[in-house]
Amino acid sequence: MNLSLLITRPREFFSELSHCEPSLKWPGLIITIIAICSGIMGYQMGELTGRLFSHMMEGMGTITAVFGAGGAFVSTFLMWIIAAVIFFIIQRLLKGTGSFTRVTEITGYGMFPMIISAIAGILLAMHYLPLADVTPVIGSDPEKINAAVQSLMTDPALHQLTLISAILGIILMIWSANIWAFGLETCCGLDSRKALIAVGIPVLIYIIYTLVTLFVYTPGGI
Amino acid sequence: MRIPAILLLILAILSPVSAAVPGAEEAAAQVQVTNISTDPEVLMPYDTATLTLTLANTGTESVAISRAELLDKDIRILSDTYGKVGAIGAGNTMKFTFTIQAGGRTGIFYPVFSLDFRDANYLRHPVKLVVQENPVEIAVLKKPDTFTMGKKEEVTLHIGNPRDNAVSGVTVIPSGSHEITPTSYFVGEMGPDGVADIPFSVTPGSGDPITFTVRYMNGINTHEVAYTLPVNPGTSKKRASPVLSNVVIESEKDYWRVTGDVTNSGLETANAVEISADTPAEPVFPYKIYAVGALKPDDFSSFELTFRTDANTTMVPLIASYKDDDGNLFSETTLVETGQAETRAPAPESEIPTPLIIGLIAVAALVVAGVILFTRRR
Repeated sequence: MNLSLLITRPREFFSELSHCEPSLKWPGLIITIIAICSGIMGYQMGELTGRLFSHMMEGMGTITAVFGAGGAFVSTFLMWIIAAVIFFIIQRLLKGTGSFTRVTEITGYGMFPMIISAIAGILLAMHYLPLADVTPVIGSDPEKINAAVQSLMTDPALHQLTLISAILGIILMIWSANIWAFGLETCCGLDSRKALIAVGIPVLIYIIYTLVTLFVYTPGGI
Repeated sequence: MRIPAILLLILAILSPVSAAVPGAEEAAAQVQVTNISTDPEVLMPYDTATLTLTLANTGTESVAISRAELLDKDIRILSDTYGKVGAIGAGNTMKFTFTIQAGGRTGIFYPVFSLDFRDANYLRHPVKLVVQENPVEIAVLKKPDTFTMGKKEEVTLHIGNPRDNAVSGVTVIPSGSHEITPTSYFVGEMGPDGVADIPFSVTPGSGDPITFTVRYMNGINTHEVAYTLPVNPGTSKKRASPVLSNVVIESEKDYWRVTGDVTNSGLETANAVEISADTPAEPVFPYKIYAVGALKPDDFSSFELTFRTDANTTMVPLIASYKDDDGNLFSETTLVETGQAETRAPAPESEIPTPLIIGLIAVAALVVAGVILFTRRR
């Protein structure tokens, strides 16, 4: 499997792939790499959150870190499946011929640029998380807990980390969308316009959702 | 022989005795001193008093009196001699009042009352007069072990009259640079061996002693006696004592967070306990000051403070203030080490500069755009 071809000449890559039986081995490997990277970042975030509640229970930091890592790892695979289901439904609506396995395979290959995003996320987290101002909550007063969580969410370091990760994620998502469009066009019998529509609609919704979450609902704003 | 004879003649001419009228002597013998009184009854050295003698004529004839006087070498007679008194009728009484002043000596004196009858001889009557030194005595019945600046304490005076006569107008007046109530206390008359307990509330304002002056009257004479009570402010053995322990200081992003326990190790309740950081620390929210409330002896409570310091500060004073039951404010200071400035957490300036972030994102966007364009053209 020539993954460099996937980046430089995706049409040729998927053209070759269309002659083979659908296989989730390489896409699964790509997703696993992304999931591991996401898990590492999830561990870092969970450990930070655990410091917030470290006064409540012994070992709270480890518990939240493990849950954070597990959640991030599993959610990567869930995202893969959900994206594959969405693309499969849309390409079917547009008279595409791709099977679910084939669409899942294409989706997995298309997420290859996300590896860069995941690795960059780890590096950024390693830089920014130690700068975060975490005030451990003393006692179980809900108002204190709420104030501490708000304080954490508005922390400048965390906010900057979130902003950079989201923008980088959007840029690489557009790259993935390009790969997905070639995949659906080549392997699912869609023309270029329909392939772009099939990929563009969910990706556009995702980007809008991300930006709205980032700029409107994130405490502290931009 | 001629000279003595002449002298005897002159004496005979000048002597009033020689003028005694037969029968008048018997009448004068019926004149008696029936009552003697002095005011005050007992004098103090240099006191002025009045001495009153009452004469009664118990005879059946009136008796002519030419002069009445009081004589003594130790007692000064301030009033004039009674001259040309007249006659005291049969069965009548007559009073003679003299103003006298005691000398500097104490003891019992006997000035002589001398009554000169016109038609008879003299009546001489010694009068007992007592002069005592004994002033009013003052003692402190109750006072605190140690005075504390600004803390109200109770002082009780015990005053007594050791004299054989009553004294009047007894007033106790405290003085000194302190807040003392009442400002004076009027006791009034105190009989012989009389006592009175007088409470005062004293709030020391300095280390000056308190002078209690007792003023009283012995007859018309004003006397005073003073008692000096040293203050010497110090620390009360029973006072509340907030002690900070289990103090943990943590460096936050740009300020310090101190947590710990405050325990009242004194024997009195500490009211309105507050913990705060003093200069050079600059208190910041969320815990500029921590109000603990009342702490009974041996009670404790946790506290938390947040403050900012400059880079050169290594020690910060924490102040535990409290009030006693009278509302007097006290405070105790505990120094905590913040350590060297180099040990503090890095400031947020170490974050990646915003232009660099924008540049990296722009490069990533350009790379992705280039890849997309490149793949689309092929």
